[in-house]
Amino acid sequence: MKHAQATELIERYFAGSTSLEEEAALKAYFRNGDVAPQLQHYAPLFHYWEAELATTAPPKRTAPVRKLPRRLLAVAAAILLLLTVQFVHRQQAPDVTGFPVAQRQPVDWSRHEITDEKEAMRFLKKVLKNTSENLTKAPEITIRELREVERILD
Amino acid sequence: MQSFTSLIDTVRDRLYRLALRMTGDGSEAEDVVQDVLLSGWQRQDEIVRLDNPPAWLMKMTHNRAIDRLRSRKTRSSYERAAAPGEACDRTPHRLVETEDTLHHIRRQMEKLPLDQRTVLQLREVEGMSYREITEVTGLKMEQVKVYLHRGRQRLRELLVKEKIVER
Repeated sequence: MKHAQATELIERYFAGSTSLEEEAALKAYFRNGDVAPQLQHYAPLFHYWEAELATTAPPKRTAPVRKLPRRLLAVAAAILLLLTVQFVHRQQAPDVTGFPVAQRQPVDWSRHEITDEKEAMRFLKKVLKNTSENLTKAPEITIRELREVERILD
Repeated sequence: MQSFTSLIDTVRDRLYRLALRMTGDGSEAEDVVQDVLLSGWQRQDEIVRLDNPPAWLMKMTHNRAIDRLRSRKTRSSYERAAAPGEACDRTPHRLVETEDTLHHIRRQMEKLPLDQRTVLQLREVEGMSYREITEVTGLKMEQVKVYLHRGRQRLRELLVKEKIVER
C-alpha cells in the first residue's frame, strides 16, 4: 500500500467508513514497518490491535465431563458408602492376634469429598433438611418419654 | 459438521479475549469462559447444528460477562474508591518510546463505555463483520456502526490527550 492511500484510509478508518478488507490492509501497512512519517504516530494503536490478538486463554482447568444418569450415580454412591463403612469397620476392629499391632491407617476422607458444586449443594440441603426434621422430632420424643415416665410412676 | 471439542479449541481464545476486555479481569474472564463452555457442552448437539456456532458462543460470553459486570457493580465502586490513583512517573512523551505504550493504550481502552469497547474489540481484534457483531451483542446494525465510529474517535482523543498519537 502506498503512503497516500494509507493516509486516505486512516481518515476513513477514524470516520468508521472502512471495510474489513481495508482495515486488514491498513493493519498490514503498519505491520510492514515502512510507514509515512505523518502516520507514524498511529503505529502504536495498530500494533496494539495486533498484540491483542496474541492474547490467549490460560490452560484448561478441567475438561467438561458428560453427566452420568442419576440412577447410576445413586448406585455408585451406595456402593461407595458400603465400601467405606466396611473399610472403617475393618480399621476399627483390628486382628487381636496380630503382633506387632500395626498402626491404624487414618481414613483419607478427601478421596470421598464431593467436588461437584451442584452435588455438594444438593447434599447440604438434604443434611439441613434431615437436621431440621430431627430437631422438630426431639420435643415430641421428649414429651412422649415424660408421659411414659409419668405412667410408670403412677 | 464440526465436533464440539474441535469447536472449543478454535474459539476458546476468542471467548477469553472478549470476556477479558469486557470484565477487565483475567480470573473473572476464565470463569465466564468456563461457564459458557459448560453450558455449551450440555447443549452441544444443538450448538454444532447452528449456522454459526462460534458466534453463538461469543454471544453467550458477551451475555455472561454483562451479568458478571452487573453483579459486581457495587463491589467495584467500593474497590475503585479504595484503590490508589493511577501512578505514572513517566512523561507522556517518554511513554511513546517505552514498552509501556501498549499497556497504556489498553488503559485508555478501558476508559471507553462498555458497548464501544466491546464493538471495538470484536471489530479490530477479532475482525468480525457488522452482521456478526450484531449477532454477538444484540445491538442493531446502526448502533454497531455508531459505536465503532465513536469508539475510534474517543480512543484517538484519549491517545492524543496522552500524546500517544498526534492529530
